[in-house]
Amino acid sequence: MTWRREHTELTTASRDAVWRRWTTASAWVEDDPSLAAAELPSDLRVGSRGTVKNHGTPRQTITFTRLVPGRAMEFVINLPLARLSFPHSMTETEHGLQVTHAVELRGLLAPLFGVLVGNGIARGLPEVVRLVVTNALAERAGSAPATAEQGDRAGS
Amino acid sequence: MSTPPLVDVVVVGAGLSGLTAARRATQLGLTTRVYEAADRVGGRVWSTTVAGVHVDLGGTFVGPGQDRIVALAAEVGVSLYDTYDTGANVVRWRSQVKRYRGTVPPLGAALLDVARIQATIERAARQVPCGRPQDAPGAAALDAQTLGGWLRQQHASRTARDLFDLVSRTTWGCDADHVSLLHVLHYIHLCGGLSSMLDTAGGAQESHFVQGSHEVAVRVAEQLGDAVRTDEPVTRIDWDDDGALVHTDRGSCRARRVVLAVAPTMRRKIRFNPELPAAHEQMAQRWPGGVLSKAYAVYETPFWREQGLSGQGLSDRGPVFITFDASPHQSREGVLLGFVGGPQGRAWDELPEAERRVRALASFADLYGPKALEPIGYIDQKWGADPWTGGGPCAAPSAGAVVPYYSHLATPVGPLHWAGTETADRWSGFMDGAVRAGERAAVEVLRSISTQADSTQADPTTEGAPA
Ligand SMILES: Cc1cc2nc3c(=O)[nH]c(=O)nc-3n(C[C@H](O)[C@H](O)[C@H](O)COP(=O)(O)OP(=O)(O)OC[C@H]3O[C@@H](n4cnc5c(N)ncnc54)[C@H](O)[C@@H]3O)c2cc1C
Repeated sequence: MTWRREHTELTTASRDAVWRRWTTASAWVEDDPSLAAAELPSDLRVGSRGTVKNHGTPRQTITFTRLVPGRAMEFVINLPLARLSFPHSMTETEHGLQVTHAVELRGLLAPLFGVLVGNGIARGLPEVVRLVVTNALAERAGSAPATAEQGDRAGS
Repeated sequence: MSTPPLVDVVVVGAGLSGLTAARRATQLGLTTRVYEAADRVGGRVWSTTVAGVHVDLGGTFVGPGQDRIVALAAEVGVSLYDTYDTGANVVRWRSQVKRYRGTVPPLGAALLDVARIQATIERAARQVPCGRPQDAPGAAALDAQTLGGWLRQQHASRTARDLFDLVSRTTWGCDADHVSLLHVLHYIHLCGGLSSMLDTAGGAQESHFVQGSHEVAVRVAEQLGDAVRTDEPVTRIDWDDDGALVHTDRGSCRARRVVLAVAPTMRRKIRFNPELPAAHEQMAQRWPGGVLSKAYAVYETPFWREQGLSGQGLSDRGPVFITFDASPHQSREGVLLGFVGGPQGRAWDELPEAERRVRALASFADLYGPKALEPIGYIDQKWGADPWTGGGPCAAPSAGAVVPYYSHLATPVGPLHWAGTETADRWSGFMDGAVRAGERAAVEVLRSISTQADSTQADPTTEGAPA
């Protein structure tokens, strides 16, 4: 059973800049307001492990399952009887670069975890993707990264 | 040094309100001069041409009951046409795209809750006296909270709160958490209710101007001729009970009366000598302008009409959260207008032009399909960045800023009178309110000058206007 939600932004940011944000631990914390800390190995490859810590929750181990420079990246967190994965992809189109972040749950308990954890993560996806592309743009312009406050959390 | 010229009334600000005040004052036989800080007249109404098509960058729509702006436009030969309202509206909500008819989108079970909140707001708004919000029953308590805080107190569903955030962004240029509930209720009452404020057919979005709203300002200014000085901000006003000396960087002008037709927050940019009562400075600080931007995409044809869509859309995704069909009158091109505002609007405003364009077009495509990504022209206007209008569409007083300060908005101080849409007693915040306020200020000035003339005749020791 698979449960999936995704969010796509169209942007003028460059592939390289987005890729750097996907693969740099300090950028993860800047781009995802729910993250308190992230640690990634410097030589990322499929099978590499890192850790992420959300505010108010214990540190979790993540494993990279896909790394296609400038195109796609995916990492997973193993849950009891379910696998939580985060596929990232980008596609060049004639109108700009399409950047997609998804959250996917697979396994027997996927529907349950979808309700328990997936929905919360999915709600935050638009803000994260917008921060990734905005900060990727800022990287080119050489300005300070945007924060969640300057960013664009919709609604209250 | 030569003596500065003397006029009956100096008007500060050539937005619709100031221009109307000057026009009416002239019609009443008063001599006028209008100082405008920007290099153009119109203030929060402005227009341009994109791919050969006219677009309104600021105030656009008018509706039933807004008879003063409609009358002014008719007087200067600017005509109206109906906003395109045929076919289904479209909403993108919680990642799903749906078609619907009418003002309220199909939001499932949450719709009942939206209706409950709407009815409660309408009832409460009717309790707030027009032009005297501070006298409403429980005014201080209403003013102490924001619209957002009140919605939570009412246990409004998340959908209802998100929907009212969209209403708040379009109307006041801020989220519901940032605007005084008392102001919201008063504002709604001044519009005659939520429906007349929000609807297209029968509401404030019913029509727009063939030649554009800016053309109304341009034509009024043309009629006023040399009296209007653009690119000349007023920097200081020396005043006493008999009149004022109005300073700009290029010179000064004596006036029996001054009409300040600038947004409340813009009053702070002028030095007053003697200083205004402290509440005026505080009010100017606590009545900031909202942040609302507009994005226009021009297409070869209004392709959404072929799909049975009206061009009116709503989205919880952003950055564009509301769209309208703003296609020109009797012309083949199609124009989509999108509003961008609230916290997302501020972030979007900061982006480079190319990125703003891509994101706005992606929003249009969310609602109307990939054809929306291929316009023949695009432009956006960021009102939050405008140096002289203080943002838009209008002032958004925060919690606690209405009861203590409302009465200072329009009450004259010596020879200083106040106009601007925020001071209007109907349709405040709209172009119609701007015109009403200008008309009121002109009459007020005439009365005040006549009263002074009467008392001067009665008292032979009184001298004329100040040097
Ligand atoms: C994006 C947007 C959409 C809108 N949509 C609508 C709509 O559809 N329908 C509607 O009815 N209304 C709409 N409005 C609101 C409407 O445009 C305003 O209510 C109206 O134009 C305000 O007119 P005003 O004359 O009161 O103020 P302003 O237009 O702000 O005029 C004030 C003038 O004073 C000048 N000024 C400021 N300081 C000084 C100084 N020191 N010296 C000299 N000049 C000075 C400014 O440059 C400005 O020209 C919208 C506004 C915006 C921004």
